[in-house]
Amino acid sequence: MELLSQVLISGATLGSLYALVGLGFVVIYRATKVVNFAQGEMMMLGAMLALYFYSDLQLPYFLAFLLAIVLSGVFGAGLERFAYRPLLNAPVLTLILATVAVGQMIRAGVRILRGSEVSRFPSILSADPFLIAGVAVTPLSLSIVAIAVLLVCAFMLFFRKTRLGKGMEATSENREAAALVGISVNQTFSLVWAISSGLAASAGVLLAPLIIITPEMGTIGIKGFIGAILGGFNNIPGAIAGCFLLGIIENLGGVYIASSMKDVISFVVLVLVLTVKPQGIFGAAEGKRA
Amino acid sequence: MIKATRKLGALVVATVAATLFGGPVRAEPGVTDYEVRIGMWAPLSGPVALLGQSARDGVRLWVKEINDKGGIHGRKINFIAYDDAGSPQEAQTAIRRLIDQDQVFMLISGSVSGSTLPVRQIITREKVPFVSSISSNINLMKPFSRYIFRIYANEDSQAAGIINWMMDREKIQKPAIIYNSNDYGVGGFQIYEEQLKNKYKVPSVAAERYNPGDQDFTAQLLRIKGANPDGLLVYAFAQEAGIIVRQAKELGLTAKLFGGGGTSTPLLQRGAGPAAIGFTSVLVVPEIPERSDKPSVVAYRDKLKAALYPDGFPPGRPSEYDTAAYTAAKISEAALDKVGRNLTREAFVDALESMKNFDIGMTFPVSYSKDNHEGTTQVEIVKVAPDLKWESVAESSGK
Repeated sequence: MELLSQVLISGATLGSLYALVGLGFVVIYRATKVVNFAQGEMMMLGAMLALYFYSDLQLPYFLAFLLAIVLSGVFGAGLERFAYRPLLNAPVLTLILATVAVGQMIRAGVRILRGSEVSRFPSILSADPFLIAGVAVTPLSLSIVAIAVLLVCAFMLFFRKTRLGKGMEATSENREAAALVGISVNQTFSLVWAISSGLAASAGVLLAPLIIITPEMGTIGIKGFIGAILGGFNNIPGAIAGCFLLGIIENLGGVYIASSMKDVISFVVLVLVLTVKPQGIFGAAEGKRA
Repeated sequence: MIKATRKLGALVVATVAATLFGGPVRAEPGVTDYEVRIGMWAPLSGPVALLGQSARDGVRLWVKEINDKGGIHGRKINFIAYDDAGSPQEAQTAIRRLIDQDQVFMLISGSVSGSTLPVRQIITREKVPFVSSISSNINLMKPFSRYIFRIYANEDSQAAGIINWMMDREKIQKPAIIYNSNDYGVGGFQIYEEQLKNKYKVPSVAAERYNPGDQDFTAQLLRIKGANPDGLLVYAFAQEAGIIVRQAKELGLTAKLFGGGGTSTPLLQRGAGPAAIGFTSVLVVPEIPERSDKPSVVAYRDKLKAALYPDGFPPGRPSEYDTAAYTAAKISEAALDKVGRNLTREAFVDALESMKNFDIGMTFPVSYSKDNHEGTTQVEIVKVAPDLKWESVAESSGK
């Protein structure tokens, strides 16, 4: 029982980070039908920026966190303007490949600027475990889950309740109609890329103290994509639930079946789910659009 | 018809010329009256650039010393180093360039195992002497090659070194292991199993593997925690080991932590932070190049600083790859010196094979023979000190 609780808690910690990245994937996809494979690299960029502000420039943690997210967001918007917008009328596949290329460029750029060395993000909160009913938890991981959940909720409120968010929703439903009712599609797309880059960056900053910072750390971002597909790529709450689920399944499979198989297990689950329900566990069938 | 005659004519001229100027006393590749060309390929960029840059600098420093004093038997060293970025494909290209185009006399240092093993066949076939100072993979010597020499303990010796320390000195009763599923990790795991079974007759309470590139080890560590070991061997590379060590602590694992040779670099602490304190590992050289106060190592640091890094060393330097490459260069120097003016690759290999207890105070003494090119089996036990630096465990040397 203790082991099970431990597995669930560790899985949820991981899942909350997948959720932040996954949300970024979904936000871009809904608006533009593009799967942004540079999401993991944006995450890495966020972690690198935060490390720079916090460790090198010695700024306070929250300022470093904020700056990293805002700068990544601005960078994401810049990418949209200069790399993706010129391709807007190209086939979606071209755009997806462009995101792969951008991801590689970010990775190479960071390698050139910072080198490939390993860095550790000093954790703000203690990583010493304490026991709750026999389960080891650290203030660090608790705070990470809390912040991740808060961020996810904040963004969901943003989409549902604010004008900008509704504009994004409208654009994703029907680009032409949105333009007709006075929503600037270009502005909306900039915003979409900025937000999803910021989300990825925040995941990077939160994840940083749990793993290590290298130019290659972005590979974990792909888990957010898988989690989102598992839950339902066109349904924001579903995608988030899918990410949490993925984190938990990974750990459950790893502990109770075989640890070296944990990636295999999560992929098997993914394939099974998609065979039965192609739109993901919580996804609604994608209707035809006018 | 005319064309054919001309071709035949050219062939005759070429044959005559070959008999007159070349013939049986064909010049040795990479050797002229005034220079010996020595080649190196190593990761000078990319994630493992520290290894290659260290090795290159170690050799460079030696080249400068030799050339400043007028060379060896009147021949100066012409040193050529190519970057393979740790990639096997680029290593192939680099080796081809070194052997075919630059026609080097010998090779030194070499790359990480993944980029050294794929080219060992070419090296052996082309009969180019190679003193390796990075790869510790056992397959570098399997099958035995007359032309390949190693400067420090291979992976088997390293694994045996830490396991013996764990069991004999730290008196671990319930050992467990977590290991990488690649060649390196599985190799370590096999030694671990074999030693526990045959030497210590103690069962392993848990053995968990993970895949290269994994960044989360919670599942493995939870299973290990469930088995309640008192000692855990982390057979991983330093980056992953850094995360493993920290996550182990975060999950409340209290076992003593040990690591294979891949973990004894400053990368471990950079990943693990204070959780690394007390982590015990194995180092292939007896002196920690960054902090040893042994005169030979101090002299190396001073010379390196003056020659290449007047503004201070980059992080992690000098590393054991510095001193190992420098020793590889020095033992090559001794062999070159021994062979004399009539330098051939075969004579050079013979001279290397005659080296016994070669020691310049930076690595363990190196000995070679006709059928053994593993320089040594000795390793040093090192531990992460409270200031997060590696320190030697004094009484471990010479075991």
